[in-house]
Amino acid sequence: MASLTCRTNIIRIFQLNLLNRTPNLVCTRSFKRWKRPYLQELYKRRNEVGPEKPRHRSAFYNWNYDSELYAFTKRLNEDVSLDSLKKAFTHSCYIEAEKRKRESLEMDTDDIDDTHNEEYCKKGLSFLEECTKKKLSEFLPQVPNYGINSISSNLCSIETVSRVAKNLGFRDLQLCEEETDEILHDSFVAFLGLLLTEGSQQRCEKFITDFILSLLISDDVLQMLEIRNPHEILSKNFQGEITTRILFENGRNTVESAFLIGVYADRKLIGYSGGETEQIAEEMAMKDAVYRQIGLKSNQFNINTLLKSSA
Amino acid sequence: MSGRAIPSDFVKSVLQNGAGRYVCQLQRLTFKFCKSSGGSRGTRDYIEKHLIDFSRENPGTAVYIQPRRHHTARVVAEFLNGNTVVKNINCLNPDDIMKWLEHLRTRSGIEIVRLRKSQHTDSPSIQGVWTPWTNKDSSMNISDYTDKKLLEMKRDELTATEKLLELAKNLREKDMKKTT
Repeated sequence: MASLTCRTNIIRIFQLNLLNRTPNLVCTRSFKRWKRPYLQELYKRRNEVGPEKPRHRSAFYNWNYDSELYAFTKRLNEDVSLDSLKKAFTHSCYIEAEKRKRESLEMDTDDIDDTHNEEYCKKGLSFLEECTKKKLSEFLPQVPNYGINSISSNLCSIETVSRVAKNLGFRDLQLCEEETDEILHDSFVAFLGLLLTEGSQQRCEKFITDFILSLLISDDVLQMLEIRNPHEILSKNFQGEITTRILFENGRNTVESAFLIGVYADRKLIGYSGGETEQIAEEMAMKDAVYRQIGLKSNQFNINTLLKSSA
Repeated sequence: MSGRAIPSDFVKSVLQNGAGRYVCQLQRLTFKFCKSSGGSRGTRDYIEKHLIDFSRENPGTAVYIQPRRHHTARVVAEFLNGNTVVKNINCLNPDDIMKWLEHLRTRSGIEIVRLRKSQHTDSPSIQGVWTPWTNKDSSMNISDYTDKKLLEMKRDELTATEKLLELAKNLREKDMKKTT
């Protein structure tokens, strides 16, 4: 059918050409056989080039830095001046990159604003650690210092802080050469420094409890608690020798073996745990004994007391 | 389409939003519309009459307007978690646009999928990890293999002998009643 219509079309145009003496134009309707290889070629070339480089948000048309900064302050309900906020978001690497860029274009580098967030970073970083430690020791008074330190270093780690910063819109606003987790962490910390200088210590504490300490709701505290040598800790806190004993065992030397090991101090059971080998079960049981001694169980505390303490 | 192919998830929130302070997750709105075509009329009316009020009420959201000749009207919403949602608002009247904006404003930005459960917890077990001995009867601690209870065979049904005995017992009881 298609070939038939195609042929008639050509004949008609040919006849018209004879009568009107117009330029020889041949129009055909057909299945576009060139299209498939054309698309295939485009697809192949796209794959060869690889995915598009991620561009900064400011590379797009709809971007107004000042109004974004304003929206940022309003969103987090923190009133700070926009100039200092801009300073807190400017990293030194950005200024260097800008200078290099201008030099390569043989432009003036004198009018570049040299202010960057190093001061704020230092101020914010020390305060973040100090504040989380203080708040955690108030909130979990039974946990000894080594526990508080490991929980707070987990909460202030680059991965955690950058995750928070990413979800608070720091990513688009920070001025840097290359976006990394470290830079995101620095931006967050610099914002804390800014809150300290422009606002008050209390305001900064509130910000930290709202966005960093509230992570304790979902993140496992026991995972954050790093216990390197449980035996040592237990022998310090209990009198008598610390011994372990197999309470139950199942299917030794099989794929589905299971052991339940108890830890004893002075002939009293102080903790127990199961595991698929004796070593794992013993290690877990020792940790369990330490958790029980501290009085900390997985997320069994009322976080509201912490969140509302600074309200 | 089978249930496995349809994406599903548990209830989530961004950074426990609201536990500390509430942060509106809608960070940017971009209106794209045509200045002349009829499909964008509702959008133009909305921008003229209601957009200022909207951004006054929500200063945390940056709003951009991009006239695009002969394009369908749409609104692009960008959320704090990095997600972008494009909503076609062609041929909608200002009231409908207002409703859709309210929908975008109150969203968390997490993709809308089928929820497996209406509640979620990050620490599902308060008892700890299950082991084969978790709910073991504590009397087993002091029993040994000579215990006659352990030697008994467990049966779901009565044996033929037991059934016969029960029948006989019932018959005997009936006879007793008749004689009295």
